[in-house]
Amino acid sequence: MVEVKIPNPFREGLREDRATRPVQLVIFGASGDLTCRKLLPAIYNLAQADLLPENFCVVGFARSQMTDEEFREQLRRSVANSSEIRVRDKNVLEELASRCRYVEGTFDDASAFKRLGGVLTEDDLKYGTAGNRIFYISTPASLFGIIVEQLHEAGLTGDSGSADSVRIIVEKPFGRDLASAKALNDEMLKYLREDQIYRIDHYLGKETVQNILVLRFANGIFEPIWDRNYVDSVQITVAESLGIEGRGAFYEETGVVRDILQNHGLQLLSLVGMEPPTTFDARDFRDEKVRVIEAIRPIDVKEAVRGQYGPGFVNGQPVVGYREEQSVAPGSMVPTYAALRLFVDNWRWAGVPFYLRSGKRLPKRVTEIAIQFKEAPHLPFRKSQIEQAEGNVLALRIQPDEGVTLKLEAKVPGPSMRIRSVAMDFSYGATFGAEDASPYERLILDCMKGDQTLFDRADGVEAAWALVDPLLQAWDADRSIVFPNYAAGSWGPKEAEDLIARDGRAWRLP
Amino acid sequence: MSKQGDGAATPAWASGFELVRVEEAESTLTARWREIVATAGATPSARSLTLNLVTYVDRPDACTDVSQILAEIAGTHSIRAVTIIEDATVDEDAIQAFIRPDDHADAQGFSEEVFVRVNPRASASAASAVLALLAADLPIYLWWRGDSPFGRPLFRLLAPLVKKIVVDLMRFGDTNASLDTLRRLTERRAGHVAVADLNWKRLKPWRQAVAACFDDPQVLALIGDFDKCRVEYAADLDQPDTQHKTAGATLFAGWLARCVPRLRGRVRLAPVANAGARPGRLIAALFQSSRSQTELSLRRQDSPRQVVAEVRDAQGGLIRSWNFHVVKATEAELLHRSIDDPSRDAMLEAALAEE
Repeated sequence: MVEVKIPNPFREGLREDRATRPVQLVIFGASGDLTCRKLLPAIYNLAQADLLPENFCVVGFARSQMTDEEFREQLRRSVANSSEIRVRDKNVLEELASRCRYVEGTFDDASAFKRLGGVLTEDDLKYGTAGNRIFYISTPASLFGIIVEQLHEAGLTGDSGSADSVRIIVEKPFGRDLASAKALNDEMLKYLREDQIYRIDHYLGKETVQNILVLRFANGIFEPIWDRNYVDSVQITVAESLGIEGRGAFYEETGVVRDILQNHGLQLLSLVGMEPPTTFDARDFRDEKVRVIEAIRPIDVKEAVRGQYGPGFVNGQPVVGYREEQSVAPGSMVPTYAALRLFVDNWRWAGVPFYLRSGKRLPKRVTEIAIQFKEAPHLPFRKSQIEQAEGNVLALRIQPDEGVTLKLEAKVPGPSMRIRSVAMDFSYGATFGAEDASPYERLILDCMKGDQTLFDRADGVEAAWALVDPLLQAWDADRSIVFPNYAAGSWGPKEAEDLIARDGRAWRLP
Repeated sequence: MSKQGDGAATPAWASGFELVRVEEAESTLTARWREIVATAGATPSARSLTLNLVTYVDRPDACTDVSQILAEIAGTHSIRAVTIIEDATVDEDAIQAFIRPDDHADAQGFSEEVFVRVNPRASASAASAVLALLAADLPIYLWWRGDSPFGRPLFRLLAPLVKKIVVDLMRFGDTNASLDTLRRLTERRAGHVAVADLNWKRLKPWRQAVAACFDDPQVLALIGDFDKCRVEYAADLDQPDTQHKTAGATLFAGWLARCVPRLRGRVRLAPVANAGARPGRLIAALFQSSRSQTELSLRRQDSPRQVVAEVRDAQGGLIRSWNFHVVKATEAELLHRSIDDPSRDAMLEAALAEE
């Protein structure tokens, strides 16, 4: 087949959101939980929304024994069971299913990769996908290296002349510390270029996370006050009411810092703290994100609090403590809560504390960023009872009930001068109506389009690990802390309250 | 119909609306909003509307349809919709305003509809009512749901205010003359006002299908070979008048020539009989290569509704084929797409320039 490098002139001006470049999507770990719960429903949603290219097919690869038809049945079951499906269309589902095939094999079996190559070549001819492939590696990180190596050995990673015809998506966590992250990056970069690697952190696929950038950089009123002169502090909360949901073995190896703060937490901080990128293309945007992470002062262990939940009540229901969860060691020292006080040492943010907290079994599921502005410098309301007005707060709600709230002070109607805080609320759902696409839809689509903006880059991943690694090591070495130290259903350990109270501030109640 | 005090009976479409004085519409909407908030038990402090949609309706009997379309739009956009209905039964010096706050809204956001009913000869008062009813600081889109707006005093008064004008070429007659009207609209105010044509949006499935064929590298490699094109459109061959409904096909041909300059002057329009299609609708597009005799054909099929595309070599051997499902877009969906994008449609303008 002849590959033509000219652009398709009929695409100009179509203003489509869809991917148009022919492509095969290969999923490693095709029988796994993530594939069933997230990836297959996302691919179906893309098909239903007519966002996939016409020349498209899916190949699943996993250790489980499965025929093509059983893989198609897995697709149907995933779609049937998913709450993320917006429109159920049997024709679309069957059309998608007809384009799915499955290859069974272990990830170190060269003959399985040879079989995979054969299937891909057949499908290339059948669907006109022109050798364009996306390999979605939905497996534990420990398998990334061997899979990429096997792909290379089987001649499936593309040559340098057509490098953008092959792209690889890998799932977080990217390593479990700085050394393993570097080793992983080195291993992948042996066979691939950085511009072929798409490291997915699904947080960046959320509409409301992207709206942080629009709020900051498309509204002239915020950027002039988005610095140390006007901002008192920033609080970032990633709270979950759920526990570990049967993932004890995983969580025992991970903990809250590796699971949330090293990636999602620092992603949110970097979006709030970054300088305006020159353009929103992948290089400029990711350069600025990395600069913020690199500017964060090394974490002082005295400015970090860890916690682990004990038994308690969440939403009125009794729940067990972490150590009583399945597959968790009875004396586990793994933190399920962490709070940090961080400083970004640059001209914009000098002296402004960024408080990050994340935990499991907190009172509710909420992710938000709150920009606390400084109080008015002078209150001119003499002979009134007003001595102090609270500073304004701009709260960016990531989930649930996505939106933006600006807390203002307003006069209470009446003859006397009284002030009350009021919330001016912008709700995404109410204003725009349309249901959000899942982050996986957005990110898979971006990868098909070759847009790396919302994916992590190797240096970004390593900068984040370089920041949290010393803290993890210090906590591993110091086992003097007594766990559990907060009750399920509370907002975390008392030490976290003390951490922020020392600065004369308090955690928000989101 | 029940008689109101200002010169006309309340029309059937206004069922569920509240008749108010124009100058009280804003405060009544605010009061209704507060009632909805209080009923819902939430306390938002802002009504976050996203745009003003001013609609002109030239026939009172179209109001029910328009009202339904606006209700659909309100489901996904928080809008202030102001609709002007010209109705000769209303006294020339009377003006009626009917309001309907979005009763489906949750407490945090909602849309607001105001229908203004005026005598066709009372353009100035209609325009002044619109000015009074616009939500401040939000972009104004004008959906002109009638025939050519040129020469209409109401259009002359409203057009300078708007950021985007949405029209439907089919309502201008769907003939080549109507393309002139569309072109004049795009050229108004040196192109500073965006223009959307619902009929151009109806062509999008065809444009997508053509583009999708050429996404295939093997077909894209043939693009320099194709030197002839025939665009077939539906017509009743016994009714010569229907053969003049060529606006859609002409625009499509203009688009093809814009994308592949080699096809300029080589795209032929051909009326064909097709009982399943309204006159003027596209039936087929055929790309041919004189050199290799390769042909790419895209052809409408009605059950199921799809465009079937095939590439065949000189011997008639099938090289590639596709079935593109076509979902007929409703007027509400076309309008939705038109107001979703505030910018000018450069490709529409380019296609008009080629025509």
